[in-house]
Amino acid sequence: MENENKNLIDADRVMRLAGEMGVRLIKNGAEIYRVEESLIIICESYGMEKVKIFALPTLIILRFEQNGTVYTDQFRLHSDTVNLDRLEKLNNLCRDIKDHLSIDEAEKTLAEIIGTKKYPTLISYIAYGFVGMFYTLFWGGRWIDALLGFVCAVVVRAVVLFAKKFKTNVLFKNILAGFFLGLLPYLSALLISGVMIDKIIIGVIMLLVPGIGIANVMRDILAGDTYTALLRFTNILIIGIGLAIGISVSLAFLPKVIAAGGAL
Amino acid sequence: MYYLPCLYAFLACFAFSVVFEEKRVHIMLLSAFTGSAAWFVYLAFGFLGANIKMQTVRYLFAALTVAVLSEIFARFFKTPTTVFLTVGIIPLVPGAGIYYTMANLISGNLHMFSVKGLETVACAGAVAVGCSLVSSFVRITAEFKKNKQSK
Repeated sequence: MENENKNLIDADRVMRLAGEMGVRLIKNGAEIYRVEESLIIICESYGMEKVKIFALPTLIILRFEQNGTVYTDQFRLHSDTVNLDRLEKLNNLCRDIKDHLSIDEAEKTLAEIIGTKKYPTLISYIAYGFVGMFYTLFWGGRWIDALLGFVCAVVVRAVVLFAKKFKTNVLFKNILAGFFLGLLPYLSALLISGVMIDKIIIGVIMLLVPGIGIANVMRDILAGDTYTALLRFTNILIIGIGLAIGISVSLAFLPKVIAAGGAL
Repeated sequence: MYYLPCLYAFLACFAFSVVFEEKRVHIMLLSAFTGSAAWFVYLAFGFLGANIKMQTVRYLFAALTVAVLSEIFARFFKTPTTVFLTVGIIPLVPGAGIYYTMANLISGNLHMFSVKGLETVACAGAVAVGCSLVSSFVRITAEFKKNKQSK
């Protein structure tokens, strides 16, 4: 019996590895059905039997058996970012595990992936600026509007990061972001004549609206993850309501803009 | 000049892939290409007109383009489909619709609010349906292949 146990992989280690993997996958923007598939593959590759998993964007419950002993654990998480770089690496790691990567190697690689550096703050600010700038042009703004869109996007990014630092809730964060999103174009329109306020707001709003979320709701429903779809849908609604309140607050103070909005 | 927004969509999607922390340059370029291809398809079907029904159809075609291209690129580079889809879908988010819906609500023009709101929901729905059609088709074919192999 003891000899048999020596050849087996420690179930606790597998549980920790799989749990961390699942948490990271969801945090970096993977689809739920992919997370469930990946974790089943990992656990089965390390010899666990009867693997059952239930994953939500906020919770993973994992359960498997080894030699008739049942192991189960749950992992709480908050998903709010997308990191495609890490997602790819996690996906590769999962594929390697399927091709018989040892658990020591897998743990090491996972720790490396978690430690991957993100883009420096300056570059991410500039990227946000360019997104605002080119979407303003995309929706028919002129170059002067695009430059203001750049500034507006950078400010909105700073506001979002500020709100994140103080762990405000989703609703308040988006109200705040929406407020500055409406305020800046209006102020610049007072200084420079002929600024197209609507184009700037439309351009920069792209940074706050979860585009992939809308598509994912439908994909989750079709994949059978209705709970996930409901959670995501509620989240999108709250973001939308927050932005609407925020922009209304800044625009309601400014009757001129309201008149322009009504004419459209 | 009619297709100039495609260029802007390309540049914006490229910037967006930096926001989403993508590191490999060829993936960034291809996902930006996916986004601009979507908008190209949307514009190319411009002859259909701009009423709500036809808008929805155009968005559906554009979303199908994004989804198909993402699946192809994902197979080719052995990455998750999400990598291309997340960035490529961005030009199809009806940002203008969202804003005008909101602007009409603020100004109290409830008629235009409902028109714009329905239009926005229809477009977003078309995009969602387009993406999920392709992904469920891919999953069905994958299962079909697996069954064949196991037999």
